[in-house]
Amino acid sequence: MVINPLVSEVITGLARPGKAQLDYLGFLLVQAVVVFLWWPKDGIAQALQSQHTPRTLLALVMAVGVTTAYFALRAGTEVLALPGQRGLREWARTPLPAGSIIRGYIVGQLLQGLHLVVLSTPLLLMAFVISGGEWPALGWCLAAVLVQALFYRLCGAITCLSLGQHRYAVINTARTIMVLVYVPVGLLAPVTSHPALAYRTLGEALPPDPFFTPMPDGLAFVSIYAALSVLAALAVHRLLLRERGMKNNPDGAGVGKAISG
Amino acid sequence: MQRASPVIVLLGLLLLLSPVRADPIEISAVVGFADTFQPGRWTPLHVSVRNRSSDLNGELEVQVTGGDELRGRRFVTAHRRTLQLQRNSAKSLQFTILPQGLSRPLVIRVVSNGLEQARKEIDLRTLSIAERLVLVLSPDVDLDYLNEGTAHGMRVLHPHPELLPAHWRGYDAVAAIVLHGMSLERLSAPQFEALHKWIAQGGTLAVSGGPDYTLMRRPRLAALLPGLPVGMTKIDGETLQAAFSASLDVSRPVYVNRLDVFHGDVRLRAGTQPLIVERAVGLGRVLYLTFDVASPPFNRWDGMSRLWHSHLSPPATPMSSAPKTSTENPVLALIRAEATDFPRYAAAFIFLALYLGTLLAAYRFPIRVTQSRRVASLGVWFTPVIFASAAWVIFGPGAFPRGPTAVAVAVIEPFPGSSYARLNIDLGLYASHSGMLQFQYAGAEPVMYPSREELRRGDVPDWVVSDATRRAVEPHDRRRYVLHVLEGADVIAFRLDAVVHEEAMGPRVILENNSGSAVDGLWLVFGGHAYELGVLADGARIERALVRSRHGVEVDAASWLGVLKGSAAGQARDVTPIRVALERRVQETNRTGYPGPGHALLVGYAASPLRPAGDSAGWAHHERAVIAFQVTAREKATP
Repeated sequence: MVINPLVSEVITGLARPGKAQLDYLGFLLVQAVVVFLWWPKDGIAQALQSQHTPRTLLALVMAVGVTTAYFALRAGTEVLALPGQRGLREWARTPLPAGSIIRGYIVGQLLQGLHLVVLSTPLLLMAFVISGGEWPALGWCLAAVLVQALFYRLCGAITCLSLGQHRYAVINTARTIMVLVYVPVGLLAPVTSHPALAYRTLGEALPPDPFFTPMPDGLAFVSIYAALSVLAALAVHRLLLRERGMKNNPDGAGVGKAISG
Repeated sequence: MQRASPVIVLLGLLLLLSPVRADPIEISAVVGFADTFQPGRWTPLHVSVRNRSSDLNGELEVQVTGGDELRGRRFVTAHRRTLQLQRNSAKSLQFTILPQGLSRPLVIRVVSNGLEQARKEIDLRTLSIAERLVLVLSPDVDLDYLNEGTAHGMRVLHPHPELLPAHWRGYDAVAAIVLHGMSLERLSAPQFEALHKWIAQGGTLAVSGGPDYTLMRRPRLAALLPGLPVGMTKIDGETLQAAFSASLDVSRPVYVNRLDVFHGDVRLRAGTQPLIVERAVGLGRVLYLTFDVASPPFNRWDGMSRLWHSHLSPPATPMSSAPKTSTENPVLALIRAEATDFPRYAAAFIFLALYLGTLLAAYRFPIRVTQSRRVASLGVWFTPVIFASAAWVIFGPGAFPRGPTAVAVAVIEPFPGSSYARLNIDLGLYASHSGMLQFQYAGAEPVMYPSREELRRGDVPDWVVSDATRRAVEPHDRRRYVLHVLEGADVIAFRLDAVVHEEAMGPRVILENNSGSAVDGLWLVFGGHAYELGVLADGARIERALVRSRHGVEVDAASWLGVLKGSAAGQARDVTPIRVALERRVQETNRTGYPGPGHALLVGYAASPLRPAGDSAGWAHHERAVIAFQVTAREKATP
């Protein structure tokens, strides 16, 4: 079986120590602090008396969402990379077809995102046990984390390919994207907000309403971000083709036209 | 016009010949006794279902709306029973319900395969009364004159014996029952048990004698009466008038039942012949009127109304002087005392530090040996997985139980001289995850109602009380970490006989336990001292002369509860749940506290009479059942 070189690069990179791992260790530390801050301060009798669920899991899932998204955005902008991982510009100079590069890039990101989620698993389990909640709800939230991270990774890649030579501009644009999409867009369209999704699925359940069955939030969120990721991937594809030069890459011309046209 | 008339005749014939369309499933119901009930009191509900359609396999549901719209949301308690009816058959089922408000109708539904097959709504406004009820079980006694004037607050009803409650709580609105010329053998076993329990917990049964006194020698009534009639005896007119009133017509000879031996107090006698004998049955009483209330001269005597009122009215209860301070729920107190708490901060901190430290070490100090690098590449996945497993073991279900939990605090108060005891139980249900919370139980059969705290707050959830294959209760609110509390009351079979003699050196106590279970950590609280009696096994009988100076521990009205801290197993127990439960009982019964004046109190632990069963047998369960037996202390026996 031939593994996409971008994927094998990620597999190899994850096993080697580097700045990216230390960066994510920092994010894990943030998550640990969140767990510690939201750990129930009262006993179970007080929780029952106040009828409030411990919010440890909710806070942690929100933190995992933010940290993985930011990590993916930074990885997309190539501010940080796994040991031995090459940037998209370098891949564009190789004879590898642009479609394969995009596929490898997406699978690699999903693998990397999965690894980050696995690293957070001990914390998630600790929080899950005390906060209650249901496995499917947690599963949807983590799936949303992965898809959201993919979208941010592609956003980062677009920024990097567009403004590649201007490092500070890339970093600032990435941060702006992060803040913009997370705060105002999340407020205006809560269905696209991961914290809102986490709150709805893992927060305190409201009393059941027999007349209204809400749409599954997780599915809507994942669908929206998957669609956005497809659009972002098409944009990356076009930028890759531009890097290579349209004339030398007939296999991607149609796709590029489709984006522009 | 002449042409039209044959057409009209033809249409009329067609209408006559066409089959009458009837509902395929017909529901009829009797609320309370003879369609009369008192709001705010438990009452029986008889529902009859006739099925004219195909075979029916479903549930019969009775929805009772409670709560107060001004103070909070209304809530619905749905009582459910399995209903299997073949085509062209009928079935009657009885429920015990607590109708509170009158603004919402009582809803009765037949549900099959999730679909409503039939529905009936009963307007409660026309059926309610404010007076306490006097039930007359007799084919020929007319006590309707007791209904004249509302000063005594009684309403006489003549229910059909077959419609009497099958649960003692169904008599909640009943002040007294008058029995004449009817055998209790006509009642079903549950009906008789319900009647017996109701008397034992404080009800009044008045039995009128008559010429057919063999009815009173039948086993069920004989077990309740203070004595058995052995014949009839004539009472002369003057003696009778002296006993009752000069207004009593004694122009004709009067015969009464003759009692040779009886156990009870004579409340009225004519010469040496008892006319009204009272026997205490638990906290209740059975009155035996040896004369025939349905025959002359008593059925025409004006003084009978006063006589009935003076004998049927319940004895006055002293007002409580106990402070009404207890606002806590015993269930919450037991959760605080026994339930597994969240894992500690320190454990979480150490675990997180260890995990992050391991990861840091792995990233900072990489393995350089080539062969080990492959292992290291797997390690980046395995390390978090191993720590995740450890997290599940350390913080998981073993240390902090997930899933539903049932908590029960019970107070068992045996009735003196009775084989029954009053059970008051607080049942709490909660879960650490959202979802269905149906609690199936066995043992006691208390009627249950939302807790007073939830009623006060006005956030009572809807409940389902099911009596299908197993008795079960289930709140509609399926949120996690929400405690749902029900308060229940029952009269259970529990025989504990106790005699306490007050002697110079200390009390002498005789105990016999036939309750069916051992009593643990038993103490006698009497005269400012507490005496440890230890474990009293089932079937055991003990007699002890206790010496105050040697065996007694000095206690006061508040501190005696401290004796319950220890147990035979040496485990320390938090007495707060018991204290709260007992304080609430004191408030409910308007007593002055435990032990009451002139009383000794036997107090100890027993197994909870209500236990999880069926699908709930595996639930986490915390229970505390305390026996509080107040015994009248007898004076020192004279030599």
